[in-house]
Amino acid sequence: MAESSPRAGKIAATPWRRRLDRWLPKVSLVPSGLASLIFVYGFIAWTIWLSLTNSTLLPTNNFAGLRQYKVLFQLDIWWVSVANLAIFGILYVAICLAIGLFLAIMLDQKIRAEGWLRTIYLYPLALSLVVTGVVWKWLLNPSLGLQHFVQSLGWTGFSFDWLINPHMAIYTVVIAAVWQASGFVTALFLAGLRGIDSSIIKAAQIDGASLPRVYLSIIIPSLRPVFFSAIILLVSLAIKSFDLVIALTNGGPGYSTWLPAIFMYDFGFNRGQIGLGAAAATLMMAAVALAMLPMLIAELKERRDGRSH
Amino acid sequence: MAGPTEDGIQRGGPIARLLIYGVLVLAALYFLMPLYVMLITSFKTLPQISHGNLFSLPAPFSTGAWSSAWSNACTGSDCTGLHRYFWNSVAFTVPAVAFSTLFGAINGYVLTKWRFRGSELVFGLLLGGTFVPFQMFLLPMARVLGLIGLDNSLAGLTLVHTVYGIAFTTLFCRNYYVTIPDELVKAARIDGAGFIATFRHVILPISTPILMVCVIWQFTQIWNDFLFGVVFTSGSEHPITVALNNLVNTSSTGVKRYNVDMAGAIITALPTLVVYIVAGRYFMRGLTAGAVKG
Amino acid sequence: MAVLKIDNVSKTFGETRVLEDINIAMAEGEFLILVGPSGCGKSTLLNMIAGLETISSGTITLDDTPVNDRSPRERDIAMVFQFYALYPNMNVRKNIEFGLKMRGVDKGERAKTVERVAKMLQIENLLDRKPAQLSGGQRQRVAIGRALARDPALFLFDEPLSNLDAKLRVEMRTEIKQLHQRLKTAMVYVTHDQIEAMTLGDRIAVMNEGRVQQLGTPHEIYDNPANRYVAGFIGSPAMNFIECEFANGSVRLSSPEASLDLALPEATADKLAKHGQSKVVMGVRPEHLAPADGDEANALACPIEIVEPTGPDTYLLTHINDIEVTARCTPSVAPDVGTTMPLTFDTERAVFFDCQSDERIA
Ligand SMILES: Nc1ncnc2c1ncn2[C@@H]1O[C@H](COP(=O)(O)OP(=O)(O)OP(=O)(O)O)[C@@H](O)[C@H]1O
Ligand SMILES: [Mg+2]
Repeated sequence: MAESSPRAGKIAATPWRRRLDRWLPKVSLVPSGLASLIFVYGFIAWTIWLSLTNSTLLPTNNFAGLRQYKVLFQLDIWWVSVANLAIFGILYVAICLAIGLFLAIMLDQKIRAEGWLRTIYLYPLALSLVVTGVVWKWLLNPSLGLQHFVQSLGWTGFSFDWLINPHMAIYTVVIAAVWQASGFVTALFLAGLRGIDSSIIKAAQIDGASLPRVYLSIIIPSLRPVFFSAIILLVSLAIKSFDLVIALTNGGPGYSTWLPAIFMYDFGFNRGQIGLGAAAATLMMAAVALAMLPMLIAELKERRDGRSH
Repeated sequence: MAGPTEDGIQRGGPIARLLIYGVLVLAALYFLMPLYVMLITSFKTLPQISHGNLFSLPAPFSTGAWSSAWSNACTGSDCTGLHRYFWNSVAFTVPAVAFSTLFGAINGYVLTKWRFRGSELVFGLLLGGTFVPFQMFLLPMARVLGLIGLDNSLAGLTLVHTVYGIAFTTLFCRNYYVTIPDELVKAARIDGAGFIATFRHVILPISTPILMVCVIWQFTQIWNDFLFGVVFTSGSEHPITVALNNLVNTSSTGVKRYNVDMAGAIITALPTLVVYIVAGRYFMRGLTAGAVKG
Repeated sequence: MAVLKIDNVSKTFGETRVLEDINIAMAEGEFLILVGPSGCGKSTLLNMIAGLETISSGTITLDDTPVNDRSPRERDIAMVFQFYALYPNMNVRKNIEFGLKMRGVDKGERAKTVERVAKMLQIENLLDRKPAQLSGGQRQRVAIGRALARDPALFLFDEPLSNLDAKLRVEMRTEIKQLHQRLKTAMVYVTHDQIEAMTLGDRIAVMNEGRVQQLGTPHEIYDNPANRYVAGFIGSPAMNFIECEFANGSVRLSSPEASLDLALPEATADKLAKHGQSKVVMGVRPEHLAPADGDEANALACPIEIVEPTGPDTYLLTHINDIEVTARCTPSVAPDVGTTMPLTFDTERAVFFDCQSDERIA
């Protein structure tokens, strides 16, 4: 056979080409690595540094210790933002989990149109939070929205004016945010349910357990990892919440729906208080890190256990 | 009465089934309601809105709000509708999606098939960045964009979205390429293909699913972004999300035109909604992949 | 001229030493087998020959050129992998010609080569299929075809048949052998199947724990194992290792029912005497431990505990020096379980190892 074709053989390579071959893989990671070092880690350091200076309209390098944090902690608006975040965060996470788990269990009962329903439940996540804010602003509009609609049905005493009520406005943010994310949590739980071995359920039923009982004592406990990742996800989404509030209430009425993200933006970019904005951002990052901590610990533990076995 | 289904699990009787379906349909209506209201309101006239009710169909159908939202509604000080901002968004979303997906694919390829001392470190660096709230980057980035002359420009937004998207696309691609046997790359190298030829002829052709996930995830994220848009651009360079917010929330002149607001909202939502409907499968995969480390 | 020379090659991954001081030289047209247990470094060595792994120390020479710093494309080799590694996006034709394309062979030439290779492997009717549409055996054929198309100076096979079912494995084994006889190109073939090793190889390198334990022809490896590891690894059922006392030119063997001082051939006895230790390990293959045929003088009466008919042979299990041993006999003389049978030892073929080092003494 050798005579019928010329040997394709080996390819001679110049030293230059050889060097290129060796370096190309490394070189191709450089842009991303460098970008990450500068734009992520460099910027984190920079922001933390800014929070320790007395920067106002322009960034300065005058070290001011923790003064910005002190000022921050004396500002009522900051504490309003934090309190709002607490209310919003807790309700948002809790309601999303409740709706998500409930709908996932319902969907897991061999439902005929499951695909369709899932598509419908999930589409809000494809929308911009600004769009969500705009829609709910319209629905919650007291003079023409849902309140008006119910009143026009004859229930004239019906009142649902949270959007313009400083004490209740933060709850409208919860309503809109839950609408956006609960379908996603449903999908997460559904994926978790699908991962459970159905023979466990059958075995439990043969032992005489009723279906609700099986869910309560076997299935839901085994969804722990899903709860875990859903909570972490929702908490970090809550901490970063910005667009929705801007579009829905623009922080109002007054400051009644401010969140730390709005505080950071407003002080950092509108009020020329760069140091305060940086301090707020740093605290937000710390909060996310804190929320991640349980997951990191669990992961480390798992790794250690995995190694010791 | 209750009987075992084909999977052998006892479920409730017909009444319970009916109840379950009832609940599920109700939930579907809850999720659809805002979309429905948004749609019908956008086709109503202002008098219809103030005299009719929230859920009634528009009669007659009017497309006035749509053309107004597209071409002459006021977004802050100028009144040229959303169209230019729509194209702004297209102009930075498309390249940012393309760049971040390309980098993600190459990174994933190197991180799984050309590992070297330190490559895991790079991956760790990238991954660590995904947890940080974007608020941490705003002040320095505003400064840097100013320094390199990209402040208030679509090129600047392209850069920002590319940089902060790479970690996600890298994660997606890496997790996908890990499942491709190393032997494939070895075979290609023996066949004489180098780093680039192996990527082009062997890896890229089998990457369609993961590239779809990257593109759809990135497209949704970048198109829907508001924060970077509002911080790094102003006036005529705004992306559509910012313009929509200005359209709705700066009611400087006279009556509030809710129908125009709704038409604007749909225009803003349409691209990602279409992508979701056409390629929802990949969207879901990106979500779950991104959710694990989001 | 050596097609392949491996000189003092070692490989470490971080802290772990995977290969140690490997020395192999391969003649033109030779079929060399690398055999050994899982994890002993066979694939690593093959990858180093191919240029897919760096060499920690030592030299690999192909066609008299050191290639340590050469990439795979600069070495004139082709490789067939265990999991086929066919490019899933390309049809069979494109798979086969990919290596030629990468080497800039023109289209007409490539088409001719594909045709010739496909004919040789009888896969002409599969050329337009994607790998996913092929059976395991067909995939392996295509993988071999891809290597053949390149017409390299050296073929590397990494357990190419271990994914196939038993029947197909035997068929393909024969085909690879025929292929080698036809092409007369040197091949390095990794396997952990000793039958494959014995039937295919001109020479076999038995590896364990990163070292070549013995390099030799199948006969040498089988009849003259260099150490206890090689002796035990090659041959099925495995060689019996009986610990025994050596004194006065004979070794003492006892079954539960009898004892025997087995006299050894003079040459063997001399070596053992020179070695100077009384405790040694005697290695006897089952076929060299057989029911006595009349002459029972040098036989040891053993109670047969288990009888295992396999068809052509029957294996008998018993205990000698408290170690379970296997003897082989023809089915016609197989005894019943529980009967006591005199067994004789082919002392000419028995081998002896040091108790501690497991090295061959005699
Ligand atoms: N990239 C690597 N990093 C660290 N250790 C490795 C690496 N590749 C292989 N090893 C180790 O080197 C040893 C030899 O591996 P190798 O794959 O060569 O074994 P093998 O003889 O081919 O085994 P098998 O028969 O299972 O294919 C193993 O212990 C393996 O764990
Ligand atoms: Mg191997």
